[in-house]
Amino acid sequence: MVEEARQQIATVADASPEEVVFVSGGTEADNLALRGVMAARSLRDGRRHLLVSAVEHPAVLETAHALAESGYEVDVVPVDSGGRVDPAALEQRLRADTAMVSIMAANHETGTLQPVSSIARLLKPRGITFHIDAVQALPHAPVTLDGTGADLLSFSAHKLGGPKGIGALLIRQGVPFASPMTGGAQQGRRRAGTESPELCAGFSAAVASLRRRPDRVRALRDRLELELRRRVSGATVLCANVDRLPNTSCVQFRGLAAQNLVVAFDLEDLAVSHGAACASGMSRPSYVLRAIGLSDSEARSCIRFSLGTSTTSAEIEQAVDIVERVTSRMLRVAGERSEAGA
Amino acid sequence: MSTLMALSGGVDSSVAAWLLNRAGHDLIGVSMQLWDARANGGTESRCCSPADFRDARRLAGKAGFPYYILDYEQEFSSRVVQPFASEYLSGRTPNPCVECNRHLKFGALLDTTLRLGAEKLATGHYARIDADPRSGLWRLLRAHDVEKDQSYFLYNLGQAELQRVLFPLGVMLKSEVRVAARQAGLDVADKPESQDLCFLGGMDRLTFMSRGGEKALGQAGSITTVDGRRIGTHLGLARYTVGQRKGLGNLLDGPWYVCRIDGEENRLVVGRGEDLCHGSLEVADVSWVSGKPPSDDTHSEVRIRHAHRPSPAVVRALPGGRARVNFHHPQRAITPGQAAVFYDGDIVLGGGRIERASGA
Repeated sequence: MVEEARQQIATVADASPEEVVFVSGGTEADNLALRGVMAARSLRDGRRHLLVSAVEHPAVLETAHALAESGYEVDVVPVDSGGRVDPAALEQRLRADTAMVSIMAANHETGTLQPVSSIARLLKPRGITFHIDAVQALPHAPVTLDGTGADLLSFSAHKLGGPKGIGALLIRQGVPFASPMTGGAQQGRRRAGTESPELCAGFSAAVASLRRRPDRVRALRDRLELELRRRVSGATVLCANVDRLPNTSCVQFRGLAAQNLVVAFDLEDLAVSHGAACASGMSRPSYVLRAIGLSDSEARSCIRFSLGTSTTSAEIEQAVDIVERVTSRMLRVAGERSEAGA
Repeated sequence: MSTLMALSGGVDSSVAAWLLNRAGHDLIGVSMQLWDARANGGTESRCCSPADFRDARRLAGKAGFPYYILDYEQEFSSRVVQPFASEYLSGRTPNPCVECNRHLKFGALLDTTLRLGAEKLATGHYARIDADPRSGLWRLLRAHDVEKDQSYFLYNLGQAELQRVLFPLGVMLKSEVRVAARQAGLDVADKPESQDLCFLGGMDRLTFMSRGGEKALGQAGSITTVDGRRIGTHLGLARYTVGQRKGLGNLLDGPWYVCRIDGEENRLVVGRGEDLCHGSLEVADVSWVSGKPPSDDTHSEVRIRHAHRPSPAVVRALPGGRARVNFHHPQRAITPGQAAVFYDGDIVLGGGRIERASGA
């Protein structure tokens, strides 16, 4: 079962089965990628410099910070107001001792797609290892080793509708890698520990039944954004004019607190999130939104809408109705309270 | 119409929620994330801990109403914790619970209540609210449980707030609340009371305030007697509060008590026991529950700290949100920064922040 699943994941990434390493999820895939490559290259050719973008998932960003604390050299590339890494800005930060660059394919909050192929073309001639966190992108678009030019790819099963607790790190043959996980010879010594046949089967089934409908989802998303802009005062779509995932919409509601909106929407059975879903419950301003140039208070007024392939246009209509009703009530209350001097 | 229920995870708000739920209120449970004690050097957390929120979430699940955690750390820090430190340095002894009620629970959270379209905000406070049968105005009253009464901390509630707030526990004794908790099978029934300031996180006040360095406690300065003799050196004004006897170092001819803390001159003024007693005080930032100051002198009982038995006095409203309180008998250790709250029997008329004591 494990090897069948490995074959299946390999096919998705246009890789060979030996290039697939099963891990516990996207977070572990990112950890393994950064730690494994940096350790190997530092030993093999003395390169100790790592470059990541400012809007990477915490699994990459915090791992990069941890590596910096243990003596590696780490730089963070900024993004523009659309959330994109400028390949020229990235190129300027490359050094003779740069071992690795890690850039996500698509952002988890804004949906912004990164120009990963252009970045790959900069890195290849310099012998720099390229890791792409494709956790967010894979459900919406094919992501392959050769298609992107990546040396390593992170996948997560549950983002594809599969079980939680499994993901994969794809490691191109020949890429220097010294696993931080020790204690077993499994998966070519790249990830010690026994694979779970049950989770592998679930991952495989999710991949097999994956039906992407990007055009349909995008049309609904665009409709949602159009209606929100038309009917909700103070609503602004972030990163609206860059290439984005078809299902993600990050909307700023000027003057309203995202955490209140999330609750008000939830009470009406409209599930949204603010910041990254993984950080929900805490309203610290999102570092991703700060990185694209929003102030703390602006970042605290942003909501992320995510569509699924089964979302209907009637649901979009309902969602817009709810957002319109809730936001107009909130703005009315805010007006009354400030008039009353409260 | 629904009611937003503030849940701390403790026994009081749990019972309040259970009572309202049983009475048919359509509840929305909310816990306020105010402070991360562990991230601020604390060793334990008296509230806002994951365990407290787990208790609150379990209660909401059992009773079948939605539950959310909302983050007000920024407001809590700027409205309560930062002033807490700066007030001590200015020679005042702040009351953070008063500020938290005013700005967080009946400020930010009441605002959220209305924004969510709920009609009322309910909390587990021990105090009562009713409508004056004659004027129709909302009134704030002491709780039936005299020991647990929290009306002192709530004097800032005015008409706009009171019409929106419910205190289901105001008519109950704490012992009845515990019994109700057990009857309801709430697993928080025997949870210990929280007593210390919630954000100290198990530290004493001075350890908490100096966690970023000793200078947060202020600069050393002189200790003088009430008649102007310099008799020693203090180690930073934030270490002291009015009425304090210990921690003054070895002063000749003791015992001495802190009578006044002069923030402008960085001076600690000490005196004898009788120097601590004053017949009058002035308050600023006065809030009247009715919404407007009384035009005449008002006979009332005034409480100058939570643990103080209200003492008869005449309250005179002054321009600029101030008031003067003349006690029938001198009071000991009137402490600037604490609240003076005016009562007419059980009814809270209003209150303000003590600025200074005067008169013997």
